[in-house]
Amino acid sequence: MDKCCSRCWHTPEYPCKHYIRCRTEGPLCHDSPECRAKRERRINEIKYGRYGLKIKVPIASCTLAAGAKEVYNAVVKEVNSSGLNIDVGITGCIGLCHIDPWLEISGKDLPSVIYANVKPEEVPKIIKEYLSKDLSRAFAIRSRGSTPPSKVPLLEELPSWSNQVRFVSRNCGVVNPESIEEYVAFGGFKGLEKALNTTPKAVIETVKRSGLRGRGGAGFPTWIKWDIAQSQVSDVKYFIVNADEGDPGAFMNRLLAEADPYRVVEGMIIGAYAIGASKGYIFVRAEKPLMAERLSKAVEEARKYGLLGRNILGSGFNFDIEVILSAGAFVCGEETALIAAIEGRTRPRQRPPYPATKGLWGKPTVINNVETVAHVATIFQVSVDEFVRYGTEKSKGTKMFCVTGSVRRTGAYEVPIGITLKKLVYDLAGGPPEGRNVKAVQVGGPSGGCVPSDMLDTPVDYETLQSAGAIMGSGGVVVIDDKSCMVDVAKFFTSFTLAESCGKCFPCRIGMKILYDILNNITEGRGSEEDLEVLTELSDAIVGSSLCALGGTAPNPVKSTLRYFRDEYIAHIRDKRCPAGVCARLVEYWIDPTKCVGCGLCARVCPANAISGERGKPYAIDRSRCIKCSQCFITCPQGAVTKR
Amino acid sequence: MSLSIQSKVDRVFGHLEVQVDLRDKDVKTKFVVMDDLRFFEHVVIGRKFTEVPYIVSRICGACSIAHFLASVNAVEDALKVEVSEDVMMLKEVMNKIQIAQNTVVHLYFLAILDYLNSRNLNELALSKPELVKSAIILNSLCLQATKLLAGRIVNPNTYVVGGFTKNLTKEVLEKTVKTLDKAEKVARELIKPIIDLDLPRLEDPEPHYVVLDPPTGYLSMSDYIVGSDGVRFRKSEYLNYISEGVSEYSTSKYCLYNGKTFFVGPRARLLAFSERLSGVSDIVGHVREELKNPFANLKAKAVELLYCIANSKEVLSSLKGRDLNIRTDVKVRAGEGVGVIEAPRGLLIHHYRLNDQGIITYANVITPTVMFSKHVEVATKSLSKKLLEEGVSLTEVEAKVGALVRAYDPCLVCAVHLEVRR
Amino acid sequence: MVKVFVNGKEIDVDVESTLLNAIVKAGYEVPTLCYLKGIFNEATCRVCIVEISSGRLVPACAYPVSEGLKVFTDSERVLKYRRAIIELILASHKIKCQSCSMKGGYCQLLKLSKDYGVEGIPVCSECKLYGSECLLARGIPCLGPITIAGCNAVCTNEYSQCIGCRGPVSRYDVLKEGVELYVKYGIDVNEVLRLAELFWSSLPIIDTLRGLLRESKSGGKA
Repeated sequence: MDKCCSRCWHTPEYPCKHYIRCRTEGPLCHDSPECRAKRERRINEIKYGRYGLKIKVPIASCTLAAGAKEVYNAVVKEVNSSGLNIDVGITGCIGLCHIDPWLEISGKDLPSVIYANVKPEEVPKIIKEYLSKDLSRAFAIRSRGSTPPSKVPLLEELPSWSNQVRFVSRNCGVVNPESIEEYVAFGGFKGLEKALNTTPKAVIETVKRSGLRGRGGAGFPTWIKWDIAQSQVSDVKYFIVNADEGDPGAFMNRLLAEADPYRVVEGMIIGAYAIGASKGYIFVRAEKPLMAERLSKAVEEARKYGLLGRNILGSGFNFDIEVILSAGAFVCGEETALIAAIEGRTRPRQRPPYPATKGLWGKPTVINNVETVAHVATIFQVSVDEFVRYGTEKSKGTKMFCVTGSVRRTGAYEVPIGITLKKLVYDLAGGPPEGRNVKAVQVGGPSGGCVPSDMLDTPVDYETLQSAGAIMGSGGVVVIDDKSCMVDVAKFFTSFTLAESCGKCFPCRIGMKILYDILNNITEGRGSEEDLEVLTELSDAIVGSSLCALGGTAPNPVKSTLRYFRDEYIAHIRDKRCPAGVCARLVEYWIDPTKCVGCGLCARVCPANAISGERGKPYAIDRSRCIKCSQCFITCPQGAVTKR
Repeated sequence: MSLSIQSKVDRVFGHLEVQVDLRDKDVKTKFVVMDDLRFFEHVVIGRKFTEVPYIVSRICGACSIAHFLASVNAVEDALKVEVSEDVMMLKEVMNKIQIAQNTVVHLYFLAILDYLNSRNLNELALSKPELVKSAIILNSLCLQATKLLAGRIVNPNTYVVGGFTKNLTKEVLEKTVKTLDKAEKVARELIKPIIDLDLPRLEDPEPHYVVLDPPTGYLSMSDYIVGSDGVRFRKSEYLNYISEGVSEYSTSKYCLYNGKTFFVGPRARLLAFSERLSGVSDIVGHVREELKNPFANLKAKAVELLYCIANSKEVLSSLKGRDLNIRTDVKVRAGEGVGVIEAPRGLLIHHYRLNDQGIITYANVITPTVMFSKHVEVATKSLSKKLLEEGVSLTEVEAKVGALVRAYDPCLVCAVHLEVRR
Repeated sequence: MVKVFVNGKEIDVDVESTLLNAIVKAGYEVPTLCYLKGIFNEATCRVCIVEISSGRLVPACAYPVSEGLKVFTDSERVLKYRRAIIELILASHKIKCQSCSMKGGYCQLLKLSKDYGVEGIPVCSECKLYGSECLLARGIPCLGPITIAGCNAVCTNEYSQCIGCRGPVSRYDVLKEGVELYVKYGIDVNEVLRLAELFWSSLPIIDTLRGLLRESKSGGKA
């Protein structure tokens, strides 16, 4: 980002319109081979390190939890002690959670190799092997450089990668998230430059052509929101990015913001320009500190180079951003609640009026999700055509999905909208582990519904998911196998939304509690046939009459499990049995006499003295005394205690 | 010259019009009740004896307890249930407290306005705030006492045929005594303005009356009725002495005693038993001479007000926590019974016939207002004639007629029995 | 001025109006609980929801009018959901109606529960609060299980049978439970029916009750 020579006069106070393009293609205002060479050298340095050899360790919330810090320290130690000329840098999460912690070694004309599940003590060996061209330990090769093919697969050959279209996540796991230079070197802020060279209306037209829909959950066409806000006459307008990702099981926003925060900032500035906003807020969960930190740093750095503040890049457009920490309430994911939180009030509000006309402090406000603005930035950086290549008729482009649960390869995958759930779960995420079968897939978190395993050919787009009883939501996909009880799953999600209900309106506040109580009764064997009708009717009433979308979607898990897994409910109610063996009160513990060796361990740990028997002979459980604490099940070395 | 008065009498319970026709030398008066029919003598037919008291207590909220007690008396008479003395005593106390409360309402919220130059209670509250306040307090205390014994201020729920549902606890008794004590103090002061009233003078043209005849005590229960002519008869034979008639201009019936117009109520009771009023004899003395005047019903009421409260307090205090015999077994059988009680306005008769399942097959109810409705006509006629002779203006006559009617305290809501088809 | 259609009736209203203004102007009614003109207008109780042409349910007190908007105040969904909301409110409401300071006045919630037939909490729930012995256990027919609460169980607390003067519960499931109680305690169902006819003989619920009691007779009378 430095000036090539003294002829460059760009400062934030007196900005040069071509500053960004000049970083990669410059110098533009004067012709100088020395400056050009200087520029190219700098870009090389950024891409391949000072010595043409670079080790990247991902430092993000998820990788840190997996032990990346220790790996990083080991790398630094090894490089320093061995005196090798290798640059050590950090990068963001690549989205393949199952290989955390990983590291990547790359260099000019050298293969770029990824090593998975690295232990700190393996680091010296890995570096030595790489230098001696032994890639046997590698997980995948990102690019071969000029080396011959080897047995190690290319990253793009892996099904978890080949099915992805890394549109908005292109920099994740590639760039140093804390360096604005790297971002610019990889094409960053080019979109902003392009946008500032046109009119706000033209910006909106571009977004309209792209057909981009909000990635936060509702899937509302982004251009419409922007258009309404743009047409409002007001002394001040606001642009807010919702980084309050609250769905359990969704982490794509965190991933993007920690791995590529400048993209978020760029998209935000473009959006603010389009609607005419002068102030922006990024609303981040305080429970995701690294995300908040990275975004704050990105804002600071952008300001330093004149990309935020007055007269951005000489366009006459003024805009600045403030990062606000939220207190962590799920309801703040809802627009009006988020606005209320910034204003210092507490609860969601009735819409209309919509925030685009009357939002923060009564002024026109646009709220977009992190992924949405990241898409905006990328669309302007690359082209609309690149975006509309993918997706379906009504929902263009790609989306990041976080696949968790009973799968082999947990991760965040960016795929074209319209891909089938089957592909997502089996091809990308590797399907369930050995011995398990997929029973259902929960899409959309606690506001979404489950799709049974025989409907996995459902394409993932806003409309088809809704007709199947689920919602796209923010893109969280939880794979549920046959060891889970669907009633228990519904109960879990209901307890979540119940705890997060803001309490303002009757249907959600009281209704969710009653739903939970009934579900609880069913899981404890106290359900009755009428309960099912009550659940259905009450769910409909809550959906139809709640004040905000939290209440409007909270009963979805109940509704969809009732729709597809009614037999499990009936088993709980009529037979007082939990088919999956999960609901503690409905499970029977039984000692298989063919497996029991009569060691007596179970009887010793049983707190209710319910197990009796003679040494050497099979023991038996007195079910009338059994309190179902499952201690015997856990303790038995022979695995002779079974649940049924 | 229009010489007839058709005055809608206000400040009574129900809708009443008194018509005075002065065109002839012979004044004609009519006691015209216009309330709609209520059918209670039919409603109870087909119902079980356990339910009848609950139905009839809802005839009127003012005398709810009187109807209730008359009804249970009738049923107990039909089923030949002998309730204990304690129960009898408690019934009397309940009745007396209700009479007191009813009297407060009538005297201070309805009748007294005629004599203190106020059109309504709001005006009175401005000119005599202390009086109104005391009356409200006294009313409230009486209601509290009623609630403690009867369970509620209307529609008692502590009594079923055969006795009380639960024993009176010491706390309840103490509370009731305390309430009555407070009430007595207020009542003693409050009745003074009534006793000292300067009433219009009128001689009773038909001084015949009928009252309940207990061997001792005042306002006590009895199976015997006695008339002013000294004739004493069992309650079961009332039909031989009291007859009901129908007039074509009123939805209320009227009664005759041995073919004569008669009256009932506090004035009758005082005329019969004034010497039995213990504890208030000084006040009785003031009133006794005036008792031949129909207007003096008001003063009789005031006396009874104080007596009821003071006597109830005495009776309850004398219980001093001893165990009460409150319940007698009831055997369902066919029968016929009559229950009589002194209600606030006068004698009240309930008469039922039951079959062997305990279902009511016949019912007859005669309320005190029905009994004195003819007497009101007669007295009004006498008053109007007298006033006309004195040259009083028509408006004045109307006012005085109204005051006279109010002195009787008729309750038209109870009096309505049948439909007059024109 | 904009033109809106309330239940099919065309009406012109101020452009600043809410649906509630339009509905009232058209001569229709929509119940409200939390709305207080000029003071509170945040659509929290959701009782005033109405259906608009798009099929969406919106609160009448806070939704603005727009040209050509169609409003339906009593569609099937609206009535069903309104009823559900009232049931939810009552489910968390302390029933001490007799000592409520609005007694003798106008209690909107009670009126709503009556209008929408949501009265389902029997006197038994109040009677239990006082720990009185159950009259059914003594063999006395008592209408408590099928009479609506709100009187603080005055009669049953005095060990007097409940005669149902507040009116019957309107919910079928509560009626059924009550009948089961009578069967359980061996109360003669004819006695119950006779007692019910005392105050309820003109109400439609008496037929339902009669049917239930008849069914229970064949089921088992002690």
